Amino acid sequence: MAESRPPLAAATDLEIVARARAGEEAAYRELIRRYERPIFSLLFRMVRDRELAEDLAQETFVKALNAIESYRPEFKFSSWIFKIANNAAIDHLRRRELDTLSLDGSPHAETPEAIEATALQIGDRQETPLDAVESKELGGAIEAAIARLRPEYRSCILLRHVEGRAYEEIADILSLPLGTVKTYIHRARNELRVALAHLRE
Amino acid sequence: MTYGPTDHLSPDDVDAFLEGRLDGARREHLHDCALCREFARLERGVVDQLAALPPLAPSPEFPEQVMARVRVADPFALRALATARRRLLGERSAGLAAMIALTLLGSLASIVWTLTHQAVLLGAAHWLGAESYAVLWVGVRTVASNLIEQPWYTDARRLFTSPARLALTSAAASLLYVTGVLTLRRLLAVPAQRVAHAAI
Repeated sequence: MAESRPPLAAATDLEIVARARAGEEAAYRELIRRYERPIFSLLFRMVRDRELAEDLAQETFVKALNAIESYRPEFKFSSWIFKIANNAAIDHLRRRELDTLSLDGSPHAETPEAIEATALQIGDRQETPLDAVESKELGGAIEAAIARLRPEYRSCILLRHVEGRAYEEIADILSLPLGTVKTYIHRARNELRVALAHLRE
Repeated sequence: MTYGPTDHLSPDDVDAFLEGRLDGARREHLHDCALCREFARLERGVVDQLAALPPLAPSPEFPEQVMARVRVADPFALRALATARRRLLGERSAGLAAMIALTLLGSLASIVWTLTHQAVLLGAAHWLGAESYAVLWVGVRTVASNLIEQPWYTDARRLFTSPARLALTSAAASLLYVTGVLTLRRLLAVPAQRVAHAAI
């Protein structure tokens, strides 16, 4: 008897994981579709290099999807994959000691083309030229301020206020006590407020 | 809880304000205190700017590049494995019952055999004891005769000929041991970590 299954787009993460475990290739693709942007955004804002962020995102997905059998359903899939991505970013930052990075492109880029290719691309929304200038100025300033935060503050603030994750989930993702996560987020907001003060004047 | 006019908003209160769940008393304070109002406004500004950051997309080839490196489980192989397992073990409860029955039967057979063959077991234990003793004795004699034949044996023996020498040798050996342990501890100590890191 043919088994009727709900469309993947309407299924929960857990249902999709179960279908991936049963060998349904489309389920793997759906997990990539759901998480490629949040994971890539987090990694890009952590390492500030498009090519590197893409490599780390690829590493994250390959690791997660090849270990889908070991995923424990009592945790949220999003927490699990963000944890793998954050580990990849932190490992990279530790290796390279790239705690503060250039906003205008990869610090390893040597030619103008390479700088352009690795620079932060903001705004694939429809914007007027004025909007674009304003958004670039504001977005650029806050992106620069985020880049200057300590990596652990950066992870916390991005997960909380850009990805909209709950404090408890962030504590789970980063394996930190809840109080530490709150402290990091408060400190990060303070640093951002100070860094953006010149825009208000 | 009552708050005075100088009880400014705590970081948790600011979080509550940002999430729109600030309680009545704190809301009242926020209304009256220009300092907290300004602080909350600035915090709101930072959070709004963060929330407005656009999601960034990897290259269009990204899904294919990932899928090229992912091992998708073969559904036919999975089904064949499940069928084979079912045939071999039957239902899970039947398999469990068979395993328990086998264990019980094995234990019972072992007890019965032990009780009816006590003489055999005793003989085997005696033989094993005698053989072990002989092997141990031969080993000790071999090691001892080898030691005695070493050129440094006479000098080493002098270290233990009087209580004073024995004490001195023991002290030197203890010092050497403690130094070794401390050096190892220092070498194997985990370096302090600056960045918090989650492991999967």
